[in-house]
Amino acid sequence: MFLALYHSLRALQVPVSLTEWFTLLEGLAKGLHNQSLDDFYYLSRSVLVKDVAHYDAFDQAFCHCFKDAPLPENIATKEKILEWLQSPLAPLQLSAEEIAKMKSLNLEELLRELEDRLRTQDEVHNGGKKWIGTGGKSPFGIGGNHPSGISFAAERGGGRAALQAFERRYRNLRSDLTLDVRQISVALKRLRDLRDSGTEESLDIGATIDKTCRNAGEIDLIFARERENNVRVLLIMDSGGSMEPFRSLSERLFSAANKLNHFKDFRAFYFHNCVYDKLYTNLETDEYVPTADVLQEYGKKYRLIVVGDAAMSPYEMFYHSGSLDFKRSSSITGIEWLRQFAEVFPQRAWMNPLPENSWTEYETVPTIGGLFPMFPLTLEGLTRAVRHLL
Amino acid sequence: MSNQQFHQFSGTDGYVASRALQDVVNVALALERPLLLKGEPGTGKTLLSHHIAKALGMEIIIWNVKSTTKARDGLYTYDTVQRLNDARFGDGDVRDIRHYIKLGPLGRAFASQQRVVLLIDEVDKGDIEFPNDLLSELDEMRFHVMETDEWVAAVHRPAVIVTSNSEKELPDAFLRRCVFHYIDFPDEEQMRSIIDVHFPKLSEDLLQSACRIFYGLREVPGLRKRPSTSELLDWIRVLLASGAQFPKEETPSLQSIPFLGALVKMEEDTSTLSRHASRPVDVRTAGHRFFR
Repeated sequence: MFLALYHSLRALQVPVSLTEWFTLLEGLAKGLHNQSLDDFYYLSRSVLVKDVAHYDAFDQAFCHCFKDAPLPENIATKEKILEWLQSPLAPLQLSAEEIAKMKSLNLEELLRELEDRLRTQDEVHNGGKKWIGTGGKSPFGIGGNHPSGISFAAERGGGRAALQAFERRYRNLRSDLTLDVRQISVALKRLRDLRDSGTEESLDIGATIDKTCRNAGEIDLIFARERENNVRVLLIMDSGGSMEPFRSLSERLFSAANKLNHFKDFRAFYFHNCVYDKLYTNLETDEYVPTADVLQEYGKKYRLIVVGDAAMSPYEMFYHSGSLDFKRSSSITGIEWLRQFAEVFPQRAWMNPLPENSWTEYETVPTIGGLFPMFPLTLEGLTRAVRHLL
Repeated sequence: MSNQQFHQFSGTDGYVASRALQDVVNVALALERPLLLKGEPGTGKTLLSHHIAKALGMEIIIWNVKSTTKARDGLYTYDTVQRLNDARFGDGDVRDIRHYIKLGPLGRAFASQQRVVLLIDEVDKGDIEFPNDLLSELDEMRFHVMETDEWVAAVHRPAVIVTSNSEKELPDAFLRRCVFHYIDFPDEEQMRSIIDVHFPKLSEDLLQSACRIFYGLREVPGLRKRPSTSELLDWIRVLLASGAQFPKEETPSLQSIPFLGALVKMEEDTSTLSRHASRPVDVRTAGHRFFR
């Protein structure tokens, strides 16, 4: 009767193997489920699921098999709304009479209105007056400025385990969107190329025997050197402007790479819009280094990771004065600089925080994608990029 | 197997284990599979194995994994250098290789005459291939000592607890053999019982304001290191020792929270907090902030 659980888990792409399934059967044979649904829930989850990212899928499969629950539609809807509300926007300032006008709506009217809008809204709306979104004047959403509005915030609650499955508490741990510093470090850790170096620590038996024989039996210990990661990384990040929504993501990547005591050398620079003749070391003081020096200094030896949305107006890329700062009077265009980078860094990758399926919407993304292998800035994309950089 | 035998572990005086955690520990013990624990830092992963050992009256053997640890170190080490030196200077009994073979933590757990708890702590710190190298030893519960051509087999299968901090890294083959549990961050009710275990006579007033401030801090978006249970306990200890007073108002200002440093440890987080306290920041100009 439990096979349904196995198949639903597989259908939800939880990697359950037969080994684990047999372990569960063994547990059941030993009576570890204790004739209780709660205990069975913990038993099966601990044996079948090995990653907290799959807890949510497990809860869904469990509900499906033991509660006869098709996925309730409203959960799916709510998830969609929470997604809309994720993008940030500045708080809105309202005049006194606008606030007074809004206060006149009562809760019932609001709820009726909400239902109405849920039926008609099908995408993200931020900063507007009507649709569900962030930072706006609409009565529905997060971080908005409507005095009697309805907010969608995550619910809390405890309760019995089997009921917990319904609550789906692990939804937030689900996808690769929750890239934290540690996960990034783990992915970057794979970027290594071991070479002999460092202090002499381990005994080199072959050499010791050889030397001892040459010494006519007088023992002479020879030590070999440790192996060390030989990878040097150059990180170049887009900042400000269209990258603003992804700032914290880029920050995390930077701090993960910076903290990881793992690379032989790690350097980071910043640029705006597109790479021109200067790369910045510190955005506050506008300290910069000439791009040409960077190419000369780090070329060939370093692995290059560029972080940017690669979405800009074509003129920013193809004209040399295309940058926002008109004082820059360089004769080399943005695309030309990028081409030079591509030439000098044989091992390179471009991390793009925009979702992969939206890349084709921007004219400049495929152009840059032709010069730099492009990967989405998710855990999965980062893993692919690291594999590519090796 | 009766219920009596199955329910072996149910927390101790010093450790509050949730129902889920108790069940999972007992499942791992009954199935004799390694128990893999993950969860936010400070949720008591390492502490748990000490208390399992205490509750079941077993000895605990700890193997702290470091970046240089190799799987073999856990089994045994053959001290060639010592032996060569002894041979050179005529010390010790060089003829018997057994004198130079020392069992590692896993080896000692196998050789022990009683069933022991073996804690493999922070397994993700080791090399990426580290867990895979232990697969056959953990499966078969025995290993071969090449130098003496002897087998070390487990007298009793040790209860193996493996802790890891990272999210996704351990090899699949290793995972398939484990029982897995993710320790949730305790909710307020659980936290109260945890505090109660450590500070039995804490006043309700203090408990309530401490919890409110603590969970309030955890909600602040963008913290690099959110305060965890162990930090909360430290903080309460400091508060009690100093006799500091809590601010009375409903939403206390940051400056009025005593010994904030015990809860928030990273400099960046302190500045995140002060920014959070004095909102709003204009998003349009914030784009020029240096990543730090």
